[in-house]
Amino acid sequence: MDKMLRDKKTIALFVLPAVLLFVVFIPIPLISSLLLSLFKWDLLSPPRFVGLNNYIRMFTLDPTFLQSIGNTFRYLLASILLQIPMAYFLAILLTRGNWGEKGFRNLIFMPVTLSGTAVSLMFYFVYHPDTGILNNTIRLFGNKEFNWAWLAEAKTAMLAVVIAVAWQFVGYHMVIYVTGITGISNDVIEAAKIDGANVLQVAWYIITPLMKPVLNVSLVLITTSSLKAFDSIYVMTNGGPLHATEVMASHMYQKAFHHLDYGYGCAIGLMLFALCVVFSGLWSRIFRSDDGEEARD
Amino acid sequence: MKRKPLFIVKYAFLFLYAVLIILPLLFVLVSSFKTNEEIFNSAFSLPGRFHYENYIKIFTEYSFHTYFINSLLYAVVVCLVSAVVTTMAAYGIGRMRWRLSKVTMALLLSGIMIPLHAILVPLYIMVAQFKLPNQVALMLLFIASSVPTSVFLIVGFLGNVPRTLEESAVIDGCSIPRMFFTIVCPIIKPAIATVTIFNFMSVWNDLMLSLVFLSQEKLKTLQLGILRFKSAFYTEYGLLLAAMVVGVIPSIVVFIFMSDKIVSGITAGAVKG
Repeated sequence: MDKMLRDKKTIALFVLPAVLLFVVFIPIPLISSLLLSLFKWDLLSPPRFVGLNNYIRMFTLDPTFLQSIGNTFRYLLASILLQIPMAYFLAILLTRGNWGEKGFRNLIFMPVTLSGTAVSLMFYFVYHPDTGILNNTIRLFGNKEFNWAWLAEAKTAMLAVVIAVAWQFVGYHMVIYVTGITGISNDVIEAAKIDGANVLQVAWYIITPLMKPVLNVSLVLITTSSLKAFDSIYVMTNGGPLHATEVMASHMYQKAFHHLDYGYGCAIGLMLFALCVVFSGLWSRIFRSDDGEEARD
Repeated sequence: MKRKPLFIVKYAFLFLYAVLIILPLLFVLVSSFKTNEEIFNSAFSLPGRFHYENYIKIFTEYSFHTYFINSLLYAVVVCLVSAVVTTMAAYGIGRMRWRLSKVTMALLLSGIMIPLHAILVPLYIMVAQFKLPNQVALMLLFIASSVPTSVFLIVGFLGNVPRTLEESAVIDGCSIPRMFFTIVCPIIKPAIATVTIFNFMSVWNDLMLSLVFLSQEKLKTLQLGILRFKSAFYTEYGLLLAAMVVGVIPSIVVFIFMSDKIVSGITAGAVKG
């Protein structure tokens, strides 16, 4: 058996197809992206070497890019604030062994499986100034003339998009927390209850510290997915009004595939990658140093 | 008795949340049976008569089924090929004895971090230069990007499977590839099912890659097909809503039958990883 498992030919047969596909379509393009980001190229005329100009240009000559970074951070921060506490609260509420919890969990998770395009379009209708349910509800109970175009007004567009995304993905983080919480030994919780801890104290002093690794993972996931956000923006606002919801991904798409500025598109894509790495590292650091503090107590 | 008020608050909150989930979906479903005038004039009312015309029209006049079939085709091909190559790779990495197996695994795992945004442009240029048919390139890209997570999940699953069955099969004179397909694959079916659902959803729900790679109308996916009704037929909301409902049905079907698998896949990566 051992000898057969060492056979080079068999190993190559098993591993090479997947590894080759992966290498050709992921790492090699990443390296070419690094190179391409040093060129100005529209695919029609020959590429022109511009050194780091694409990167310098981002921060000096492209106000929309700076705006898109700001918007991406707003999107990220609002997503964290809307989704994580709500998901955590729902998870604690729905792991107490009461009636119907499984049904509620399923219902809240269901939107995760829908396409971002469909959900974004659905909210396009929810927010529609004339026919949307939001404005119609407001008209029903209050101001009969209410006609706010949520997605077309710079003041509310970003928040409206982020709420739609939260509607879809709160369930995603909730199921992660549910699994984390059900993994905590019941003895610990029972012991705390015997010592007289109430529901909130159990949640805060017993469950939350034990959930740190899980919270870390979910924050990394929500951070990378928010930095990469594209579908929601593209469908609901297409970056508008006047770049008020332009995020890095939509700006990159515009620059590369509409303005045919491929080198510059690569540079923005790589900035996005760098931010993903930095933020994921940051979260892990924050959660690790917290652990250290506890050890010192 | 002391717990009663808290109970009421809990369920009141949960029912309110459930309504917030269901209401927009119901609104889309009901409105898709309305005429355009009804959508505009009375948002909350039920349709005066159920207008199936929207649904008939998207298929007869805008051949919506082409998009549906394209998406289905891409998803099925990607799921099948990805299942075969990633399961084999996972077995090769998890079970076979070679020096670079750990390095290979690390290489694949590093791919999880790379956002497609960072490599989209070179891929686009590569496909154009090599004159690869765009839908083929798209499928290969989906398969390639499924490799890291799929291999990771299957290797994890394999780790909990005892080797005794494989050993006795080999002693009986079975070759490794044959033993893999007849003995190992049936055992790791649950893991294969999980990665297949995830691959299906990532192809079915994709927007950005299809947007970049598919410009020919006859190759476009369902999500692009739905969006077509938003841009070109701006005021025909009935059609857009009907297209959305048709596009969402497969997702709902997958959810109804597979939600446990999806949840276990998400948490296997998140909680244990």
